[in-house]
Amino acid sequence: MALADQIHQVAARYPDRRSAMLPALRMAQERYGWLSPEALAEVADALEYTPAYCVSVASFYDMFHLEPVGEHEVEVCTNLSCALVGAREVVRAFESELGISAGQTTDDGHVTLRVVECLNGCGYAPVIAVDHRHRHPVNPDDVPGIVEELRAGS
Amino acid sequence: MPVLESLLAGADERDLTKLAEYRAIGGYKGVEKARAMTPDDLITELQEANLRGRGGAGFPMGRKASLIDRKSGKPAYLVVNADESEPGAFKDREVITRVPHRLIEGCLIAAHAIEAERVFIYIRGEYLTEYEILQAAVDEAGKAGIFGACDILVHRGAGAYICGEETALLDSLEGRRGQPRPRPPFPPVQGLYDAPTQINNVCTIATVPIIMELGASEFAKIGSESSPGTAIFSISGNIERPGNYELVLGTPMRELVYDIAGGVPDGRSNVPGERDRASRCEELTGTLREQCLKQQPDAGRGDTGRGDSAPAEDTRPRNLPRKPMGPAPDMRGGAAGRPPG
Repeated sequence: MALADQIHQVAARYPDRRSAMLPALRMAQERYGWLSPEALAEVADALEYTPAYCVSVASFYDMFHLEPVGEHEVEVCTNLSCALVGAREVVRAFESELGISAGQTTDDGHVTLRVVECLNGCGYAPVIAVDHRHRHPVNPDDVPGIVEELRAGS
Repeated sequence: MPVLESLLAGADERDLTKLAEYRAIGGYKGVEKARAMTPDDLITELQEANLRGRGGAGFPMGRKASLIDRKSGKPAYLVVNADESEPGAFKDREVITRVPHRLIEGCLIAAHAIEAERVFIYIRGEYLTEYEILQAAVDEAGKAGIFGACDILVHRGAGAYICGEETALLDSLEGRRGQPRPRPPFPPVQGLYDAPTQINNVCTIATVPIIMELGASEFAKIGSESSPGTAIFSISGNIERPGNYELVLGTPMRELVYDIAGGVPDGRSNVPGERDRASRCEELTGTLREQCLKQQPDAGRGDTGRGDSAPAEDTRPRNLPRKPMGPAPDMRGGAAGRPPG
């Protein structure tokens, strides 16, 4: 199904088509990997809003990417409960294993590492999300295996 | 007994994500009961139950419903706040993943009370597995014809802590940047699409079927008089048995920390970093006090609000980075422009 059709279908479920903005941006991102100017233009056309409006909304939300990201995303929670049980060491382990700093993408475009706010798995800390699937508890020793798994899976 | 399973009742024994299993324990009978009542009678019942909001503020849920103008000429909406983002809280995901039908049933009952034909459940974007479980339950209940004239739509956020604040949530649901609105007007008067809107937390709505099952007067007898019923408490950090515990409201904090969650691993008796996550986010330092888990403070008695019931224990400051890691990028950016509440 074309993206525009997909967006129209979702928009029809809301009293106001603008409510489909977040779902539409998500669908575009899932299709293209990130919200390129072209992807945003498609969303804008489908919902009859300006591309500038779509950018203004997308830029507000942390999960929308206005720049290319890696094929896989590793997110590490460093909020209170995770920090108490060693989230910082988990971040460092990923940084050294991937050879990048948090916030960066590996040179081969394979993995993006991010530090994120509370993923609300505090009782099972430290919590990480690999491609938005939560894993817990994750300790520094688990990190090489996770990275290997991502490399093997591509 | 402080531990009482009602919100999570049956979830240990059965897979309550399945409609047939939920029905086998009497699920969705509350909707039938509610629909046999007039909306006015139902609101009276909810008010008599004295169910206080479980999202943190503790506003009486029935009173909120009574504030909805059902004669405004605009459709009324029910919005469920499942944007659980407050550090330390993970109670809503417990309800969503283990008893999604109880939440859906609560939606249908609450919608009947305010004569809403549309319900939106706004779930944070980071909850992917949780969304899938909830959506599957909504689909199954919808196909079984349980919704009647009501429609439930699960709407995913996209990563913005502030959207847990109810008016920011409404803006986000309208397809805007999720920024809080000035109040008044309050959502019951002018909420989603400027129409009367009731907004409640996941746990508040999921408690509603229990009121229908027990009757308001029986429900009101559970636990604390000023805030009856049970609530799920999330406890985390340096604690022997972290996790979610459903307790009768009014249970002393000491029982939760030491008897139920096993205390701190190294056996120390005081908890220097106890935090009460009330919306005021008071820091309680020093020896753990006999803290009553009341939802509303009784002025002058030194009690604090229950908040969103998520204590995070820290008895080992050495584990905390000397200099905190600093806010993650999304807390620095526009999304976190203002703290909620």
